Amino acid sequence: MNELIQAIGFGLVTASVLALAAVGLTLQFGVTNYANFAYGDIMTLGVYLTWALTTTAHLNFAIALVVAVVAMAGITAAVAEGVMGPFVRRRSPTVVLLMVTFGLSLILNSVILAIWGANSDAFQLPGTQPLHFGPLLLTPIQLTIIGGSIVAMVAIHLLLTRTGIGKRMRAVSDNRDLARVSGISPTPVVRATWAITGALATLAGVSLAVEASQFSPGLGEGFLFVIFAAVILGGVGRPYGAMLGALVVGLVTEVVALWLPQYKLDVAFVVLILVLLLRPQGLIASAGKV
Amino acid sequence: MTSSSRPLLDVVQVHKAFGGVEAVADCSFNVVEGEICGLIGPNGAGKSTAVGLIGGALRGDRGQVWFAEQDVTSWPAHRRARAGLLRTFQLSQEWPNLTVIENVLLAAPEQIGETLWSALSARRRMRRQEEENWGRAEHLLAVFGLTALRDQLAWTLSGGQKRLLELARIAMGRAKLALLDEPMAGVSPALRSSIISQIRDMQASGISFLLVEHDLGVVGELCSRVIVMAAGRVLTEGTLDEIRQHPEVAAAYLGVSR
Amino acid sequence: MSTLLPIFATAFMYVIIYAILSIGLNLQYGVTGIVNFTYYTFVAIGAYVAGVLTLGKPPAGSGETYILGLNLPFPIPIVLAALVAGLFGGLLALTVFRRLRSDYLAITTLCAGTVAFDIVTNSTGLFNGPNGIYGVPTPLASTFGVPPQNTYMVLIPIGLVILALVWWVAHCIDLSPYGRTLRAIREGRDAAAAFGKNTLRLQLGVMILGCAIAGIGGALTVEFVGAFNPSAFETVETFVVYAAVILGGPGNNLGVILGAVLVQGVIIQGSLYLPTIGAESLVPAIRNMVIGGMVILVLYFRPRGMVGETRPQLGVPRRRGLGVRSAPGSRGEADS
Repeated sequence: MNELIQAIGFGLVTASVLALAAVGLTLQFGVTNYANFAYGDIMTLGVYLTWALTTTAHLNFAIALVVAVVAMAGITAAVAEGVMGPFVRRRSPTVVLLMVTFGLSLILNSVILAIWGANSDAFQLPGTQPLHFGPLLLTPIQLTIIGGSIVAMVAIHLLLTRTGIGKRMRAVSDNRDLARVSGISPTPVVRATWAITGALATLAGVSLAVEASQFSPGLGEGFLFVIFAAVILGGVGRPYGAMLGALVVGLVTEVVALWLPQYKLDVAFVVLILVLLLRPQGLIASAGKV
Repeated sequence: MTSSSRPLLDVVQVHKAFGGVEAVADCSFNVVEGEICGLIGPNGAGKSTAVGLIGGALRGDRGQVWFAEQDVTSWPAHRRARAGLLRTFQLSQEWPNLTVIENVLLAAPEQIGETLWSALSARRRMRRQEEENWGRAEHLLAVFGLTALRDQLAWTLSGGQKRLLELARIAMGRAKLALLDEPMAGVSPALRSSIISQIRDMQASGISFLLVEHDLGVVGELCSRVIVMAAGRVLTEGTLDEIRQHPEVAAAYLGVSR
Repeated sequence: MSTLLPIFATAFMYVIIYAILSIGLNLQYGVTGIVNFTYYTFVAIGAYVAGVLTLGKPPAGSGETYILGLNLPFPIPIVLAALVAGLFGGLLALTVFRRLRSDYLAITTLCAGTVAFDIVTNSTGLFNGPNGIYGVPTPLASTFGVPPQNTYMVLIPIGLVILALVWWVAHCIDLSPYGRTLRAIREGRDAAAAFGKNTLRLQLGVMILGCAIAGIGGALTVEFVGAFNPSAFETVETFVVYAAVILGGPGNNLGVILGAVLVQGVIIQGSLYLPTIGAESLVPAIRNMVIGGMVILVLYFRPRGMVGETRPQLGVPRRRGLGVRSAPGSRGEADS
């Protein structure tokens, strides 16, 4: 029983990391209407940027994270504009767009390898001593990840419901043609979405790296399929669905880890296959996106 | 055929809702052999959904579709097509990076060389049939005035030429019934009369039509009988003149039409 | 001279294998428009299956563990490798092809690839875990008395025969109404279904066939290299085959062979002999940046690749194939 409670605790941590990543991915997937296979490498790049700021520039971790998040928002938006933009404007078919993001994934990963090498690195952070909450053991770092993720989710909620750009993002994601007819120009919406994607990817990547206590250039790529599982479970383009999907996948992986620790993330694939077979529109359906 | 037999196409109480919105609400209508039947109605009346349900691209929530005396309700689109029920789309759906003649050839029914095994083993029979089909396709291109475009990629065609290509594909596919979803959309006035006369000739050669069209002039020229849909329901049917007299139709459709 | 020959022979053997792989991927991506982001996993399946079928039982006390170890003679392991890889490709396709979005297949294949990698790495009983299988003997080498360092002397002829066979199958498909129908699926799946094509079954068939060809390539790889382990099938390997197809000319079998020569023969084999600069991972990283960048540039500036999609017309005897141009930037898939 205690083991199960502990697993649920870890599940909440994984879900928090996953929610950051999945919301970032699903927002972009919904607005631009194609999947981004470079997302894992954007996460990793954010991690290495943060790490470089703490080690080379000797910044405080929190400041480094903020700087990296802002920088990655800009970098992601610029790369999307420069590389994806020409293909989108030319109305390239989805197959080609997917290939381009696949190519970007390889390039970003190679850039990381070229600059930082293939070895593992780690953030040196305080707060690794676990605290007791009844049968539950969580470190201050893990609690911070959960808290930070909740704050980010609330911020995304406010962005989508209270701000003009957020409302426009939802409109474009729901129905691009209708949004265009109602006078919403998709270009600034797409740019803003990519920036938010880059920011969330960085937060998710750093959380993942800190939680795993070390990281290497393959960090994001190895986690990408779990993120996709949460996104599809929640319904493509549905940020709240992605949060729910992240919670389900996070809990399922950690509970399964009680029996099959080495395959815990692979359970996400089983979830994905089940969703595709049984409820391809995801838990929260979005019309016209299946 | 006996007098008790079903019409060529019999749509019985077909229903389709999208997330609570009834796009097609318990609709029943039919198309008899040899006729060009019109299907009109204001935007959002459910015409295209009805075409999707008949063609098999959409699966209805309930109701039945009968075609050529068979219950095809559970059949996927490709199986209905093989039975002779072919359709066009509201936006032309040519295969853009294939040539015009390839587009036509693709519609040929029962091609021997269409499986991997026969492509490898039955090459002589395949070649003989392909030469036959090629001849027929070239003939159809001539009929539809597309011969000069034979080796061009389909995406280079104008809107009206694409519609002619669609009709050529339907002829090539030996359709019994053709569902035409707004065949005049995107067609220049110059090609209009050509398309109308092509549809008439195809009718004379034995193809029946269900014609979804906004332009009542075209409907009046081609259709002996017209079905009117509004808000997912069949409002009435009759000749175009009868329908013009119908008060509800005037309110729902003709009053607001162009 | 005597030192250069093995270098060129090795490069040549890799080109043969990648030419086979490119033809298989071209059937999926170039002809039918299927995005399979884990093509190389099927190469790995072929390699492992052929490996454990060729090897005998793991020697006692060696610490090696793997299944089967049947010691089967050439060419049975290659044939079974193709069958098993094709079977897995079909199973994967069955779960996703009912969905309209091409994204879903791409996502699912990527996920399946990661999971396959995890399973092979973690289940040491399957294919000896992270260490992989090794010591796979070259087929027919003992029959002809070929020394172990010159295995290419038997494998290059075998590889060429298989390449010719695979090319012939792809060429027959190209010529036939079957190939035309596959292209129609790429260009518009709904319209293909509306004209009586069973798109689900056709796509499933191509997935099986392409993955079986990948399996054959994998079998040749393991018989040439003699070993295979999880580090050999990371995602980048799949991208390399895509690069060959896209640079060479999607939809054109000779084009993709040319692409295999360029990407595998020139760029990858060539970069192996560059001096190491900086860290050990720097040269491969730069090489991968170049490959990724070339693919993106070619997709934009020359979507037809080096050689565009050409196909001979079967119905018109005595006519040359039509050289057809692609729509600018578009392969026109109607993806909703």
